[in-house]
Amino acid sequence: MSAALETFGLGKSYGSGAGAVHALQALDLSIPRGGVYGILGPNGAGKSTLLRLALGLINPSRGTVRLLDAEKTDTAVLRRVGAMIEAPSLYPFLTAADMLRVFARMSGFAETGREAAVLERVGLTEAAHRRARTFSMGMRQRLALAAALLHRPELLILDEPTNGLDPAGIQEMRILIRDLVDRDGVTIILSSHLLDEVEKVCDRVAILDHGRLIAEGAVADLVGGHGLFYLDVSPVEAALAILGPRGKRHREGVAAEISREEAPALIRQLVAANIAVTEARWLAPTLEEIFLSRTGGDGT
Amino acid sequence: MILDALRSEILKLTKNRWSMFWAFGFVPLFTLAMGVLVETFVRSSASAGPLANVTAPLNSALDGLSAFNNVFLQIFPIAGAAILFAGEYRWETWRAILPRNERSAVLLAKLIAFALAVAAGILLSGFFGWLVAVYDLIVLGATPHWPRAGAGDVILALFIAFGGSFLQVMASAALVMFTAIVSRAMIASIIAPFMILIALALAASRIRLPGADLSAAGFPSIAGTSIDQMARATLGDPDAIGVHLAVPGAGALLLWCIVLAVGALLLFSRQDLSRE
Repeated sequence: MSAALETFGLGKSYGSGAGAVHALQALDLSIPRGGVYGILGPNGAGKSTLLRLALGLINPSRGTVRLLDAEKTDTAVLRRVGAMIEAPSLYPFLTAADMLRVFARMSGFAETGREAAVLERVGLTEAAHRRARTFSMGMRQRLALAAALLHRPELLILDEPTNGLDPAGIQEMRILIRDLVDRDGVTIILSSHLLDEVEKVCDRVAILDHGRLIAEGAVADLVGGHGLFYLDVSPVEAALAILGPRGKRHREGVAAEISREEAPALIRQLVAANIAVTEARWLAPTLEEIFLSRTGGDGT
Repeated sequence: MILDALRSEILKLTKNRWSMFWAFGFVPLFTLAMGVLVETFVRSSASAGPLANVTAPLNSALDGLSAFNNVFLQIFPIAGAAILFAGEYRWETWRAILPRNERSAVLLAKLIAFALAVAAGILLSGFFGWLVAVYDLIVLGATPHWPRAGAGDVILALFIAFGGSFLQVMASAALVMFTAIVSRAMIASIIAPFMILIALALAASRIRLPGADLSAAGFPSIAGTSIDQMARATLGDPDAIGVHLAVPGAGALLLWCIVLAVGALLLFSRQDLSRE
């Protein structure tokens, strides 16, 4: 299958010896083309390091990275990619329109009216002739996104794209991201710590922790594959005794870690033990719960 | 690739007008203002002798062309070079640029953009130097003095003076480029090269130009002065000194420029931009 980004044993370390910091450790990852791919992880997980390695901003200590199936990451392939890494990087003395002209020239891209079109798409038409130093964080974020979209990239790499945006801005960004994928066929790789956002907008995700890949797959599979069976029962202690290590207290009742096939037998067993079952339903975990449980947090 | 980067850098420079003025426009204006002040003072001075009523427009133009050679005035083009090379670290804009073009092309484009801007500044300074003489002639009523040199020698002298200033400023710019890549800081990219140039100028001041051997040409200030003296000798000035150091001086300045620029390019080609 054609890949947007592939890594083979990719590693990045800073420093040497005992004091070395391993930002990324032997990462093997294949991100398919099409859709929105989320990279999740706590601070220091290696998300930005992965994206900077992909763009050739830093050199790998080990392994290789391949972008859009190209043998090497040169300017020819990078010009097919749009990127917004960490905080928006802008020239304070340039207006929004001039900034886009500077970036367009740097990319060797010339299309009349394109700057105005991307500014309109990110909602900055009114601010086209204002200097970037007067922009709010949200406006800077939008302008950086406009710069990333300027040369019609096949792949868009967005690092924390909703940082600094207000709730309405986050909603607009989510719609824009889905629109770029569904209407323009752009592949988007985004990193975020806003798990709710990732769950809403991404098709697949990878979870990184301490520079390692700890989970990867379609959001639907990750969320659907780890359900808990909730039972509102009385007495709770008797139910917990029957469930043993598979059960734990949850709200007014118990939550059981069992497969779907085991559910009917469990209910029969509880009823046979004179335990009153007033409610039984499957609890779908959020991506946040999966993320926290995989990265060592409390996912319950 | 390099043309794309150059077009981008030139657009960026033209939009950063205030910095452009201080980096490349202040020295020509300073030349004009100081020239007018000095000439007015000299003409009005009671102690001025008969020679004070004579002005040499071509020498005045040479003075203007060599204004950028002054080690203290070089702080202005040095600051301009720092904005070009260290600005990307300061504004954290490398990550927005480098996926769009090759590292070597971007860095070379910056150097070429600087060269174009400083060339314009030196020419403007030469023109303003000539304007001082025009002021002297028209307003103060001085008598013009023209050299015996032919038109070819005049053009050659102006070209040599321009080349000397240009090479000296470009060597300083290459030093700024190298410092910016190593330090990743705007202030260091201004202060360190400026202090190095002052130290070299102080060391060079102990050398007497007429009897100096070829090794003295390695000092940028001596190289610049000797090239300027060669320009004056070409106009027929019998008092020009250190002309024998002009050609090796030009070679030394070119070598400074190439070594520092190549060093900066090599460092930058593998530099990790984990954070600018």
